[in-house]
Amino acid sequence: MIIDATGKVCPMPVIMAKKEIDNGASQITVIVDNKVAVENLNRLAVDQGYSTSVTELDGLFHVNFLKNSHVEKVAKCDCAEFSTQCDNYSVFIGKDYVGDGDKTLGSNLMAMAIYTLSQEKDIPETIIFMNSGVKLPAGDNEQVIQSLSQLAAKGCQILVCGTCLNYYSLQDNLKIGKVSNMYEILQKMKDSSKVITL
Amino acid sequence: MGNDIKLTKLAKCAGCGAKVGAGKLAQLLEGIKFNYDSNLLVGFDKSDDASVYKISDDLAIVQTIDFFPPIADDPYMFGQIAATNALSDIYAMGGEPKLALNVMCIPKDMPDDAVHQLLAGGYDKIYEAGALISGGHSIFDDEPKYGLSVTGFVDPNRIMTNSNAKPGDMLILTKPLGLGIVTTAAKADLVDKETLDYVYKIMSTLNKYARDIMVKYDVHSCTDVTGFGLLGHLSEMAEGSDVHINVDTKGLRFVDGASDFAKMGILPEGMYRNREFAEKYVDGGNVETYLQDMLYDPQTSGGLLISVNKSDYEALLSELEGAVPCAMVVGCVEEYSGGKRITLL
Repeated sequence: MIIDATGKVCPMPVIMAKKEIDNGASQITVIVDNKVAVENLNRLAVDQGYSTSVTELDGLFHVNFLKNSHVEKVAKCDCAEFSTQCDNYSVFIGKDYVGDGDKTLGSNLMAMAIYTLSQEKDIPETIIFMNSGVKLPAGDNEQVIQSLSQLAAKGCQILVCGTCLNYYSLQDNLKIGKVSNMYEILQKMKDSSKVITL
Repeated sequence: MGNDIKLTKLAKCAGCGAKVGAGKLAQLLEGIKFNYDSNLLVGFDKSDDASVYKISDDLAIVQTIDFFPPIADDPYMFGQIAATNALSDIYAMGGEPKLALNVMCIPKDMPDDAVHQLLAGGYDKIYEAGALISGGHSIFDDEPKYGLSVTGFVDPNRIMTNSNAKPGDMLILTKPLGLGIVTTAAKADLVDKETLDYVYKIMSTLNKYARDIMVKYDVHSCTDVTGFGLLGHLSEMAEGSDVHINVDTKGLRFVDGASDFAKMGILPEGMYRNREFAEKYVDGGNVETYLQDMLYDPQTSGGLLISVNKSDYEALLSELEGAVPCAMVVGCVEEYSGGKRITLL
């Protein structure tokens, strides 16, 4: 869901985003033309249980809302017996290729793995990118970005290590996902019933 | 008919939210030389509410001007609020208004009846204050704006500046906060009529009643809380008086709904300008972001912020109760010993 709120004076961008939140949208992008609107939207996101990432493009700000799925899923997992439905798993991606061997093959495999995850019925609750893994959500491979967008639209949380983005000077290139930190990432991994490392 | 047009829809900023920030003003004035004479008791240098010029040993004139774009849809209400706000600076100095001049900008297509109602609101409030309107100046503009320049009298020995708070004082505010947030939300039709009518009533309540009580007590310092928000005006008071101020955030009172709107990010642009200017003076401690935001919210025609000798504060507070929209303790004044000027508790 994309909302074009350029040229709208506050509080209209917030009202427009709130309407979509009330309609149950899990992922929203609001385009605004001033920093006050960005700040107001960030406050709305926190209040409504969404995380945001902001990208600046040609003087316009894209504020991406992503519903925090964690709380709801934990509530659903309040069942006595452990079932597959309750299997909230995370995927840890610590490099931008899969396996050892040819690097081109490795990066193709990674793109395929993320695509396959996006087509799964049982998507991961969280995908975590660290070290050179951050080059995937902050890179130019359109298939990867598209797959991640689909995952996010289905409620998968995408966490990207901020230290790593800075290290590779990619902080301005992040296309999707929330900039995160070691504390939150480790907490997510601990809270997951299992973590798959690619 | 005048009542058919929605005045606030014609304005980009609501009321005092349209004010140029304090930081920006200082920057714009940089390099310009100010002239003084010894009778100018309060001028630019103190960033106070109004200028005071001494005429004789027991008489000084207080002069101020305030105008802004529509804050209410009803022109008569807008006129009343603008006049109440313009008079407020006189009261904040401890003075009494005597003479006022209209300042008005109107779009060419604004209905005559609406302009008439606007002016009627201004006249009614000036007369309630016991002052006169003796003229003014009007021009055509795309966006309506209204306010007044007001001249008042004050005893030069009883001027209440915003820079004389003393350690040990208690701080009292005479109107509830959150006015800017709720009027911003009203622009998106999110506020019920009852709340909005209450907000209009507060903004059109003269600070005369607070002033007339305040002058009977040992008040050291006073200002009115308007465009710079509570923390902007407290910063000026703390810096100007060279004191430290503790703000008791739990004791503050807000208009109904203001905290819900603040949490949702329905905040006027002026809030961010005020934050940018005053944040360096403020230790926010563990106070939540939305609550801090509410303290930077620009108020239109807000209450008097009174720094009173502790021995008098209970008597002042009880006399104010019932006479003003809301009498509350904001905090207390302490000796300054370095660090931030204001601490939020």
